[in-house]
Amino acid sequence: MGAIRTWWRGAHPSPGLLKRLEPVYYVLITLGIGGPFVYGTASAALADVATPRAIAVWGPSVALVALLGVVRWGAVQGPVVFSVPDVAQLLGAPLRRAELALGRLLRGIALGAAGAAVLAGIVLIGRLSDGRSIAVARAVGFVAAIALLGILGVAGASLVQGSRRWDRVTRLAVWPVLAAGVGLVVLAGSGTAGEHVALWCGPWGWAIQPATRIAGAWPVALALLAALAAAAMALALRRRGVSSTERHMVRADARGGAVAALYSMNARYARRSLTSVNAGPAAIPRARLRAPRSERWAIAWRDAVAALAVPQRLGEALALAAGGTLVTLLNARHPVAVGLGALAVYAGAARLLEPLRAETDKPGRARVLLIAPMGRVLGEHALVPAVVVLAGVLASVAGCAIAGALPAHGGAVALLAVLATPSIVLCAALSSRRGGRLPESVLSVTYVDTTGSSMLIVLLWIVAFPVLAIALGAIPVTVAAHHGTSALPTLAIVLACAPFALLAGLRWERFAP
Amino acid sequence: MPDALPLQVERLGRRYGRLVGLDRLDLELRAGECVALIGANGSGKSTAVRTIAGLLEPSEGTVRIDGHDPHAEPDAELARAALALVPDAPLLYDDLTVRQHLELVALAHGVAGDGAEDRITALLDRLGLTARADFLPAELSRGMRQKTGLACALVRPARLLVLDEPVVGLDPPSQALLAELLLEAKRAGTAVLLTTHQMRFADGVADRALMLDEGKVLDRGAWRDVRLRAERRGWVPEGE
Repeated sequence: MGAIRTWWRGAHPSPGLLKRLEPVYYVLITLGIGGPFVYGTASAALADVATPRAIAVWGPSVALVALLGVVRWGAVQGPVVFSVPDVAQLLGAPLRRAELALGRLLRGIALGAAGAAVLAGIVLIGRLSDGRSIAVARAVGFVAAIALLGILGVAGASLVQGSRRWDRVTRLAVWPVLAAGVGLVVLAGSGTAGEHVALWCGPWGWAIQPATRIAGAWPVALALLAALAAAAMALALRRRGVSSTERHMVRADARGGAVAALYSMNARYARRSLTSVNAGPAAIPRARLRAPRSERWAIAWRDAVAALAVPQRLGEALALAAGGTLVTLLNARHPVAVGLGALAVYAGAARLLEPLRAETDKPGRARVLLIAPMGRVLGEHALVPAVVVLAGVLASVAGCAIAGALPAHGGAVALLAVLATPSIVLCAALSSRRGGRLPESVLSVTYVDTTGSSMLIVLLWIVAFPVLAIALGAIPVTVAAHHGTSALPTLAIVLACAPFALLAGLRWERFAP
Repeated sequence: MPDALPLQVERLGRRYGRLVGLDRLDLELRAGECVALIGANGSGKSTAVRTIAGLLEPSEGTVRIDGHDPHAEPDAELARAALALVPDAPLLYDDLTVRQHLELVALAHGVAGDGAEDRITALLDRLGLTARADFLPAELSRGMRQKTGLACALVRPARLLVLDEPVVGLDPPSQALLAELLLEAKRAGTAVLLTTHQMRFADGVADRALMLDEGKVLDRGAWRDVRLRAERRGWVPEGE
């Protein structure tokens, strides 16, 4: 291995010292110029968010979900990733895989720790805002603890990357862990005892302890976390060479595709490339759905077949729609909660819009196989998601009504929540219609922009439809919850008309893919 | 393992979900022997060579290359030392020249000393790559890239040479040269396993053949007999 490294350095002469110091120079310059501004912005933005109480209540849950996210990253890439030629030329050679993987794994662990430490630093900025203080030892302990959590996550990702068993176990754990995350928030918010349980129930709680006001025992939590991270790292190092060539090859292919897609600003293709790593063969629905006699139902039939082929996705869509509506109804007077509820309904619809996205991936296919113009095809793709999501919303409304859990002005709130559903689904469809890539028009605006707001333009383009969905879902409900039925007719008319405008946009032939 | 066969495959199977890519393949290759896998598109030829070469994990069965399992580390390291693979699309680094590819492979296989430079120069010359030796893959034609992949496989000794559709992208003189190189490898005791649709090419190099259909072995035997039966089945036009 040493001879290969030496040869590689010869084939790729390293830049001189000045060139290598260039990134350090840029980082220092950027920090010098932008650091105080970033600090001030972060401090102001996080002042109300990163309070000791909020960290104690939300911290364990956020840390748990983030840990799961990092660990599951191993299912699509992971820290030990080779290029396609590496797989052919290096993994195909009689070299020790453990040695080939070592540098990549250590680099991944170091980056995981450093990234986590930076995030911890940002949280600390908010924690110290509004004249709040924290002991230096606790601050250092918090950064170290989050860095250890990063190490734990990367080590877990390495294990998932190398083993089908770890992969399957963590995949099955996704929904239970998300449910546990919600449970942790409820538990930590229930009082001091619950807060203590949440902060001691696992590494996600141990890592948060130094930044809270919990007395005394945080060094013990830090020690526990260090021991666990060391054990996970040792296990990852021991098992670093066991991954099969096939697993390395599919990851290498996926990374190549994702990088190419990102260069062309195509988020959809990047996601498809990465998820192809774990994609099994196309699912076949167990229940055969008889094809309709009329061509008017062809697209709806095709979408129903797709939904039945992946029952999990159908279940997720129903659960998100019902859950989002439940959140909306139970917190109708709180705009943020209602907005989150609308976002959940939007996410539920998005889960079922894969056939629409498939049309935008290969527009030629629809033009060859189907008679209808593309705009009409896209519009018809929204029907099945709308029916499924509406079913989830109605089930939630009925459940709340039967349980007597509807809020004040419950009838009006429920009616508006139901009326907003088609608009939310159509917003998701309009977002899916864009195909996940920045259009030339937006790109050209960012090219000629001299005001420094290119990033803002891109961001606005990305969030436009989710924000519109949140507005359409949250504003009428919140207004009705606060002001009763006085504005109900106006709001109902707006929500009844909005789908027609959105559907016209979805079916707009001129800008169809 | 001097006594071990270059390739021994027992009941090798590979599934893609409910699709059977390869169904219980049995195959043995002796030193200096060439076996051609033939069959229609999707018959399982590439799945077979990729599973044998360790690029795909088998669903069942065993592979032994020079007595070593290419799917179980650290034994796989010895299997990789005995195996040279030419994939259907050459897998090359964007930033290494043709010559650097050969140097890297020689180094990775532990044969960088002992006149490796002369061997590389001779191989480049033989394959008509001398003028392109310092070119990057992006500057090469499809056929030149294919030749570079072939050179990577031939630059170091191997007991088993596996080639997946090696003549795709090669002009007739290059196909003749490839056949010549394979015959030389056979004479030197290397076992050769290849997949191809080009019957005339295989006429010159193959001793035995397996005809695959939907992952199963439809026919096996001496090359000329299998070819004749394939012609009678109408799978190969007569005289092709």
